Amino acid sequence: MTILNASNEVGAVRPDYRHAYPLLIAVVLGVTAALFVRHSLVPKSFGRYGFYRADALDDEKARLSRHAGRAACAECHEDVAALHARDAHGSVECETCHGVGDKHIKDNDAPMARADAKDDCLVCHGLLDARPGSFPQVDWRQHYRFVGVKDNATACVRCHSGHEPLYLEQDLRKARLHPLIQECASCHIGRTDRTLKKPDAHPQIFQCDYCHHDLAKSFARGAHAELRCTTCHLFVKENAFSGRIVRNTNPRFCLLCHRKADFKSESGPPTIEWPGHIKDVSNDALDPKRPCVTCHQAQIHELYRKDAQHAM
Amino acid sequence: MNYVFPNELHVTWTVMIVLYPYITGLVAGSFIVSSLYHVFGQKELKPIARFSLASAFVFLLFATMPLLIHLGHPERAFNMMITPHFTSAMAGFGYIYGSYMILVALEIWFVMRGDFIARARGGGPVAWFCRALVLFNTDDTPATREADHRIVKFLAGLGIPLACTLHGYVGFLFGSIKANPWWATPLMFVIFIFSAIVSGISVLIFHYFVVSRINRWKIDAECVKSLGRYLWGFMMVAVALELMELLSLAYEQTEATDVLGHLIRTRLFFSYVILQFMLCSLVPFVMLGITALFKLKERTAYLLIWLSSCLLLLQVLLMRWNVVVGGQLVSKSMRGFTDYFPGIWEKEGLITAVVIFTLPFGLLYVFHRLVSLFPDAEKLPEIKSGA
Repeated sequence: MTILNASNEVGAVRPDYRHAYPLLIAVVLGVTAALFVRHSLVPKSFGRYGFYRADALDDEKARLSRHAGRAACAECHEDVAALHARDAHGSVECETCHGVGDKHIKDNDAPMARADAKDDCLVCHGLLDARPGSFPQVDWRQHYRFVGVKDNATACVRCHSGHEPLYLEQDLRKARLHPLIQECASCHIGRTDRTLKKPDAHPQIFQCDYCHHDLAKSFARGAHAELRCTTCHLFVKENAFSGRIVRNTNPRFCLLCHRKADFKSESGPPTIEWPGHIKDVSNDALDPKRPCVTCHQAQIHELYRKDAQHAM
Repeated sequence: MNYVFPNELHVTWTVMIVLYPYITGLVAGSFIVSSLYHVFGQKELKPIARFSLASAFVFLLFATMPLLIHLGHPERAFNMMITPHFTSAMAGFGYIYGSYMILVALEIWFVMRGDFIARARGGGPVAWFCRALVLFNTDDTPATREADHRIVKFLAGLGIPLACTLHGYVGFLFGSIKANPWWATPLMFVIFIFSAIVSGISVLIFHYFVVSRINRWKIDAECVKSLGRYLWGFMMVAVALELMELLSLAYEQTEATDVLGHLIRTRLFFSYVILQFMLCSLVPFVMLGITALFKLKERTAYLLIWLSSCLLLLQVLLMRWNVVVGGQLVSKSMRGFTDYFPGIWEKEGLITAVVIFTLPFGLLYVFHRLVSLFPDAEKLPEIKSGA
């Protein structure tokens, strides 16, 4: 072994490359090995039909389905399935919230998941700019403030049942036809940036007050003015001209905001004990299905006889 | 009217994808500084030549780490190397990256072979490791050194186009995405190469001052002033190119001009206009200009150059951020923006980014413990001055 001092300078000496040969051989061998490994790792069926592994098709076909579908759930849970089918979550599969059902169907004791935490609901209903305004979504902080929810960890299901989130009196998809309602918020929900130009081909706006002017004026003066007409008169667009509308007078729908609960503070809307409230204010027999608007119509908007037949 | 399509709401390319071109740029920039000495004979850069090569190597080792962390299945990244396709720009990057890694490793081997042999003397695991590293051939003669010198010159020369290709290719990854008006410009290649050189020189200056300060080494005035001049020149070109890109965007008046103008005036105003151009481009331009054109006290000149290097490091990072994140904020509807800011503790969050960026510096320290990266500075004792 020959060691030079660091001060030794390279100069005009004949270069000796012999020490570099082993490295050169190592590099050539390494690159060759890498190319060989690459070649041997290409799956055998790769490229048979296209630029992919053909056997992947068989692999996918061989996978068993883990989702059972709502019909399988309804075989045992007929009552819940019927409730669920006619309310706002009617198009949502049971396994969306309860997880895949294959194990539970084979063994009924195998537990199903329950996605009932607030964050689970917000996966679909959290306010996002990219969602169409017609899809129900909330800024949960604002919503909790509005309703007077004290603890931010409170689950949505404390008010909204997963099976009957809006307590619809009838299936909205089978409700009566109504000309199209198209407001700004039907598309632009959440933050809006009014500095951007409105496009030339912007869809036509059809607001409720175009036809129901007096009702809208009366509504704007009332205690519910913060809400939109379509909060209670639920509308779903069916085509470019019309949709289905239903006036939800189910008392449990009103109670979503007005029911007294330990998780609500006084800052929210006025709350009542239910069903004791009816007994407190009337001598009638207790009818928990009696619509709140029987007594409280004036607090929402006045009814004009001329418009009453169109007030849905 | 914030209209965003559903698939645009989530910003997919996170801060990890900001870090990837940043670290790759540091590689290319550091390597080019070392080549200025080895190929173009810029003798005043000798004190930092070896360190710049080592920096290029360690940053190269970590350049793909942010990409792998970004992936849900990092092990699948190698599939693109096994079955590469011309439609996969990243497969091309894999091969360019691999070739460049071999070249830099070989150059380091030849540059530091004498030091490895010196460490191979005696016993212990380090000596054994060094013996294995030099392939058990410990001949160190003027003839072998001459051979090493010539090979290094050849490799360094070959490395310059490869370094430009490596980082130009990263620019190409963005510039070739024609659907994104903020990215799709052929200038992106060139901008990335020049900003890479700026960040490379900056990190070397920054590190050289810090290391010298800690070890109480004398700063090599010629070296630092030369680096400062190079930095001034390259930053001028880099910033001019960035502004020219903006000019062409504004002049073309395409359908995207409105929304991009809005992007700059609102979402990116602070990070792009105020920070990237005003603070981190204009201020270093003035400071480096002063050090290059006027005779200053050594200590003042050092301070200005060091501060400029810090600001330019930040400038290039901001440029990567504004390109990568800015381009994803704009909706294809041209009528809205989404939002993005990384979380602190999440998988692709700020802490992860800081850790990834810190690791190469730790490895450089280990490298320095094995083989001195500043052999000349260590020979000179005394001196308490620094940045």
